[in-house]
Amino acid sequence: MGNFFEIAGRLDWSPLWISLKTGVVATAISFFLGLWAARKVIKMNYRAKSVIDGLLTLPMVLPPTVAGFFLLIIFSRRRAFGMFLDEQLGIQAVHTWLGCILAATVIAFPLMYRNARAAFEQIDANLVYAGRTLGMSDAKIFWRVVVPTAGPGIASGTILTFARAMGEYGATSMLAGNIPGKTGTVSQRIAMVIQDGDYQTAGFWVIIVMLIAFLAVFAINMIAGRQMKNIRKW
Amino acid sequence: MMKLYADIHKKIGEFELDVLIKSNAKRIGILGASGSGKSMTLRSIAGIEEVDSGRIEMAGRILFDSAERTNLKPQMRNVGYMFQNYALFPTMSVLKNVMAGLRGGASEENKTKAREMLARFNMEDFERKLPGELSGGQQQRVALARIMVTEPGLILLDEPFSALDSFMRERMQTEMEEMLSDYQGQVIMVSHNLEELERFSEELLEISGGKVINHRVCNAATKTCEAEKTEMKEFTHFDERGNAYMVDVSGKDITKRTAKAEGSIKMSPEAMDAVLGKKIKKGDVLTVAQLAGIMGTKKTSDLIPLCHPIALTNAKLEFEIDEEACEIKAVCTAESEGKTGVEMEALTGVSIALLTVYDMCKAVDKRMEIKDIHLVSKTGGKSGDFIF
Repeated sequence: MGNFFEIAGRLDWSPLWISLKTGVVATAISFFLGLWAARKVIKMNYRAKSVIDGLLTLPMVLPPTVAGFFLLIIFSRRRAFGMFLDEQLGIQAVHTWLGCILAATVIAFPLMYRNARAAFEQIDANLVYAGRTLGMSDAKIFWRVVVPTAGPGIASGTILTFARAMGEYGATSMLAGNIPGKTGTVSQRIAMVIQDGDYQTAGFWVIIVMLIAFLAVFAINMIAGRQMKNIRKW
Repeated sequence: MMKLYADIHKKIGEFELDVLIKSNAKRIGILGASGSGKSMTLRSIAGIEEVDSGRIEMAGRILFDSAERTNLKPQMRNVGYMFQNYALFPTMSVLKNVMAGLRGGASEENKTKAREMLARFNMEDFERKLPGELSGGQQQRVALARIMVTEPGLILLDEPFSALDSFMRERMQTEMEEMLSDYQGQVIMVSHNLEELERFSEELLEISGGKVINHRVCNAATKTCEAEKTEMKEFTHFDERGNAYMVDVSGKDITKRTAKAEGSIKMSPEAMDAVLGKKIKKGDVLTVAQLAGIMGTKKTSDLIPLCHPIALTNAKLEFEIDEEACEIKAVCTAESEGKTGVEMEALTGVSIALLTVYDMCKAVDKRMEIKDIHLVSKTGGKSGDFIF
């Protein structure tokens, strides 16, 4: 136990803050994009739905390095679009914190989108129709009726998104790299110290990550559990 | 002015909805089995179901017209819709549910308005509750309060009692009548239960396979509805396309038969005043008697043992009032293209109309005399024309 505090004392804590910051920002972006995409997709016809849903879910099923590959192609400063962003707008994604956010958002977004979509599809369409016949605007119906009613599903989607964004490794290491104090996230730090044979520091970070992950899942269960009180055990 | 006009055409796969509703009645019932298209009709009127073509008009306001490419959003139609499952917003309190349709959000003015409406439905103590904490009957009251507070021009009730157990259903039917009693607009109720609708409706339509197959006018006193096969301008607000009863009367002249009969009822001046002033408790005496007479013509073969059932093409009943003599004369004309004459039908019509007058006025005067029932004229058939 003394060992634990000794490590904690001499540790560079920057990876934790970088991971948390990345997780929060990527989750915020995914939240609104995910709700928006889910709302659009459920209104599509069967064919368009299959195609668009497939594209939006792709980052979740592909290896993160594949997403990293595409992100590098898009944002590399040696290519047209990356060059344009850098020269005209001063935006650089490669080897910057912005790269961390982009990578985490792309990888985690499908979790938000899919959970929101599943929650929306569970909603009784009569609620929306009732809102319309009562004269409520579609925006008001969405934010005041649909989102609160889909609340538990959206909340668990948000938490999963946050956990996934915080732990992202593959795409992040390719796009943002592992620059200590700048883009060095917890998962990248773990990989690095293990290469150095420092299992103690690695183990310390592993405990931190497991704690955060457990808290996230516990939070989901608490939120979802409130609605599951009536389910009979068998 | 015609209040509701709805001509709706819509095709979904094999199913085709093709209905025409024209009515001035305050309470309209639509009867039909599940899948008959009755709910779809309601949803089309509210604008939550897309319609292929037709026209929907409410109190002179056009809600939908495919020819003019008018299609108001449901938000702009001012039509209240009560869903079978009430569709209360589950995360909002009762008070917030009632305020949901009001402009200006949770302003004090809206709160007062919503509370007044809840108080009218005896739900003021439940304003903080969530819909899930209420019984079915209470949910229904909140759903109706939420609709009424937006002051709709038309209220649509989709199977309002089907979610309730039989005990609650009975109670809520009575409650619904009370809750709607001071509502001035039209109400359409859809149900698969004839009894419910006869109790509720002034006019009753039956829908099957996406078409209106039957139209009945209801008697407020007896709570029953009878098919209206005849052309009576005062009562026929509906004329269904493809209506099974619309036999072509202009057909073959040779077999056309008509008969006219009349009879009178003599009463005290008090009773006469009551009839004319419409003071009789049971309602408008002559309107009810007129309907009863027409029903009588159609039921003749059930009453007179040796009388054949006849498909009447027309039955008309009119009253002539002689105020000085305190007499009401009923004149009934029946027409058919059948093989037997229709004098029995005309005579029965007169008798039943006069008996109904007697029944409705007997509390005022028991000495009324029904007299002089006789045939006036008869045309067609073997025995030739006859004039009294």
